[in-house]
Amino acid sequence: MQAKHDTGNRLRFQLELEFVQCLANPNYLNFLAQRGYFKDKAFVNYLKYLLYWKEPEYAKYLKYPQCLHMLELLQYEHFRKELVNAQCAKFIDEQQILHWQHYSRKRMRLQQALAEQQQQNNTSVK
Amino acid sequence: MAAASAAAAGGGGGERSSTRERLLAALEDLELLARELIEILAISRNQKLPQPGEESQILELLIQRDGEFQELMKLAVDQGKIHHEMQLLEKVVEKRDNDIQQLQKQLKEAEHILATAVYQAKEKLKSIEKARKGAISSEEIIKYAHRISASNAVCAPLTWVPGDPRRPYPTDLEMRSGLLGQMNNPSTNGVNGHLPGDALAAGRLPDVLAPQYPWQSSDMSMNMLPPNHSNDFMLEPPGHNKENEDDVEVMSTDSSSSSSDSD
Repeated sequence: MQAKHDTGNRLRFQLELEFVQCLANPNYLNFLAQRGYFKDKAFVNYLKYLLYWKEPEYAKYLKYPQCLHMLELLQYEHFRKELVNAQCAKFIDEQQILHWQHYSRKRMRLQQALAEQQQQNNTSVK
Repeated sequence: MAAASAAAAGGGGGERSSTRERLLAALEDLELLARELIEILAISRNQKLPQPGEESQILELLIQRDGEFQELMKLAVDQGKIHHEMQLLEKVVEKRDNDIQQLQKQLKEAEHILATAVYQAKEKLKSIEKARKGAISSEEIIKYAHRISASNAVCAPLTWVPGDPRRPYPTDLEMRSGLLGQMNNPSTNGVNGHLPGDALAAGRLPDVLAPQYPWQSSDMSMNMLPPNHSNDFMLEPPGHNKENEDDVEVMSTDSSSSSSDSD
């Protein structure tokens, strides 16, 4: 009985882990908003309950920690209402992707700058 | 005669008046008496005196008044000395007052500075305590950082171009092939039974399922149970928003926020 309980809890842990990370997907949020999930009181309470993933002992299991930011925003009714619009979701998507690329772009710029500098050194040595 | 009696009366009634007034009164009396004496002497030169004793009377009064006058002068001199001392003392008192005020100002300033210092020290202690509470080993942080970066979850792959299906969040594909997705499709053979061809072709396995801790290790997940045991999220946890007061009737004792089987 205890074993069955534990497996049940393990499963619930896994499911909630997956679900909370899915919240990082703005298209999925738009999907949920359009189907009226955000109007459901029980769902809103569930979102509040999911805030436990912010604790470090739980957060260390998250592969997409940005989902926590979305979770925080989802606590606000205004945000949930806005997500019904596809443009809102698209905007969030674009910004997320741009932010995602930020570091690699910065690195590329640094590499370019370094390459240019080396070229200059080579030409001046000659 | 009338003037003499007036002078006597004036000399006696001087208790309440100031020394200056008494001095002036005495001077007036002396002047009056002297005048009378001279008048009488002038008259007696021409005719015989009707009252022979009057001159001596006036003379006596004169002498008396003069005596009083001298005493009053001495009194005035003493009073002058005392007044002078009083002025000196007042100056000293003023100086001391200024000193006290100066000290008061300095004390206030010092208190202000100390209060600020104490306040800032307390803030520092608070932040130290806060930092200590959240202390994590650097190795763990580095491991976590490596995990989320290497899988391109928080940083785009260097070869990413628009058109690349990879995203900073779990994509539709990944979501469907995870545990959550499989629960809605009981027809598939177990977890990850059917993988859409593209995902395999792209060389990517859905990573959401193995987030990064092996589910197989039982001891780990025993301690990591999600907090709220209640599965019914229609029930308001106690102490919830005020706007939901009308839902009180649905409230049951089941909605405790502590996990009932966490050990």
